[in-house]
Amino acid sequence: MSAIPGRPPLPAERPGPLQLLELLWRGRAWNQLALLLLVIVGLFFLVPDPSLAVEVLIYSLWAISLNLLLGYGGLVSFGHALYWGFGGYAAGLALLHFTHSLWVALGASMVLCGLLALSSGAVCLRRRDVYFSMLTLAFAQLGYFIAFEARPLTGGDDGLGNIPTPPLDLPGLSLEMHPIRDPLPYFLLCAGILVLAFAFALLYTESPLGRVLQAIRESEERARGCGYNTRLVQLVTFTLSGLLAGLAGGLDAIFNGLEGLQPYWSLSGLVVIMVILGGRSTLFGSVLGALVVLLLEHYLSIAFGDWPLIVGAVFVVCVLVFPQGLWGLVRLEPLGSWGAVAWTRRLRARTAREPGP
Amino acid sequence: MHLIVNQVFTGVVSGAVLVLLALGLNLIFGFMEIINFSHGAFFMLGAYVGFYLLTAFGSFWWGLALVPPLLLLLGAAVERTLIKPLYRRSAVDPLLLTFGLTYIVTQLVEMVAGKQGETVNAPSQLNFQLPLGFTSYPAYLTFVAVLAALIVLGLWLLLERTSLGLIIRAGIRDSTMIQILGVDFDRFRVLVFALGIALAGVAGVLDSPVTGVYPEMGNDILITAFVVVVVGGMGSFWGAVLSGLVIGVLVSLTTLFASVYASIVPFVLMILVMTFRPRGLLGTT
Repeated sequence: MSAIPGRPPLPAERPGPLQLLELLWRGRAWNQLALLLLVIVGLFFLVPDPSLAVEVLIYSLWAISLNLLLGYGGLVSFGHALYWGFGGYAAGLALLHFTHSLWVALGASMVLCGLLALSSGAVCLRRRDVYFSMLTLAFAQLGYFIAFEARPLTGGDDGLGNIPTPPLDLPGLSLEMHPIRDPLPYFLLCAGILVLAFAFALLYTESPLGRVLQAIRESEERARGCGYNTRLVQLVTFTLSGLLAGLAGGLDAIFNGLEGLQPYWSLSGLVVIMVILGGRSTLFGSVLGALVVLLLEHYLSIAFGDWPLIVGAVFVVCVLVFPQGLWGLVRLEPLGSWGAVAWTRRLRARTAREPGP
Repeated sequence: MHLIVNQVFTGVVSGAVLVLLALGLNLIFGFMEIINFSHGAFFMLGAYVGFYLLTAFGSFWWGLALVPPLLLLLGAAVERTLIKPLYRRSAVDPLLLTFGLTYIVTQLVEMVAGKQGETVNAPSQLNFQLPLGFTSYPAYLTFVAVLAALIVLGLWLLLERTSLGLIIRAGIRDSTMIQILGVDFDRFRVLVFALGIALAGVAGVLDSPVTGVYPEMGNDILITAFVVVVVGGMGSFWGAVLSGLVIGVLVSLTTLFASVYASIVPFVLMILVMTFRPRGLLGTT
């Protein structure tokens, strides 16, 4: 998963914010954003169950946040449900006790999750590879037990219920929202947030910081040899990832009016499956993974109660046979490999023509 | 006072089960450089196979005798079919694969045996209280501790005193070198993986009369086993033994004094160890 053909080369100087935007506009990144919009439009018109469509958007956001760590950082977090759940509790408690503003509630879940990710990431990132995975898992389990025992605050295993739905306040507009009766405003809200977060994540992965992150994934020693503070870069990514996961969790809690307590197992695992199945090499793959897994769940659970078995089997086959996921399959098989061959040929012809040094 | 002694014993017993799991994880990690995420699933599978053998033959001992060879075979089969294709890939892929495998095994068991789980009776020969001077203790739990200690001792002798153990230890230290020296590394990978799985199975059988069998039992204990491995020091044999016992006793004592915090204790300990001694209690690097 080193150089991806078709990726625009890194500019020689440090790109400023304007150049980054230009990159988004011209490069491969732009195609991904277009694909995301296509998915959103498709969800809007093709998915008969509106709450399923909203769930796909929210889980896509969550999967993107994990993909920053897993795909771009090579850091397999098995405890991403911690930030999802914490964000949900934060937004729910804020709406129940402190505020009636949607933005304040979502802001609270983002900021608090960012802080939680910063502090837990500082411990988890003390070790690498599999140790890191174990530590994230342990943190998620710790969070689960705390939420379970803090019954007065979180409702224990009954979950935190009756979260009021705040109105959608936009400049010059205030819209009452009823996620169950009329999910359209909520769908549009989630779609807007997802597009913004996706664009942010794209810019992050294309930025110098994001490039260093990918360099660390390939070889941490070399990145450190180049003088980068690898742990800091990873910690920044971990924090951003936790923050986005918290946002997704907050959106989900407000949408359902409930923050249920689920064991790490059914949640952290699900999002890892989404990212891997969709394809970890691109951010759009995560959206694809969330879409496929949730649709599978929705339609399989009607026909076959033990649908996780099928999802698990598909996942194992995916890791064994096509580790780049569905997106890798789409991109590489019909077009990409041919494109890569042509590209190599062109490169070879060019190097043959050029005189040696 | 009696209560405290009893709780310490209970902690040692639950710690002994953790030690068996952690040693298997450690062995597989050290030799093959993969984390076996499905270790908990095989622990659960061992417990269920033991339970079905108990109901079929009417004796606990059949389960204890037959589960290790059965899981040894199963482990070898899993290694050959699923893990072997991933040897040249990044370290993340086996982790993900074994994670998916856990998902499948747990779902299959739920399909076959149902979600709610069963209770398992301790063997009737050990269904009495062992007098220990000033207090008494269930004989079965004492048996678990003694058997686990024997298994640990046997494993240590295997690693330290046999030529097979020599190869395993050499492989843990430098796998490239022993391949250059002409050892058929591939064969030992199967063996080590199968050995680790068999250890998990034995732990499952031993634990089943204590906690009963249920499909999620492996997931719950796997995380604690991970904590044991990290706290003890990755790849450290005696580190895993020490931290397994320490965590078992600490959890057991917290249950007595402040049961609310009992499930949090291992994680707090882990965070402390990670902060002040990242290589683990007895880890070397």
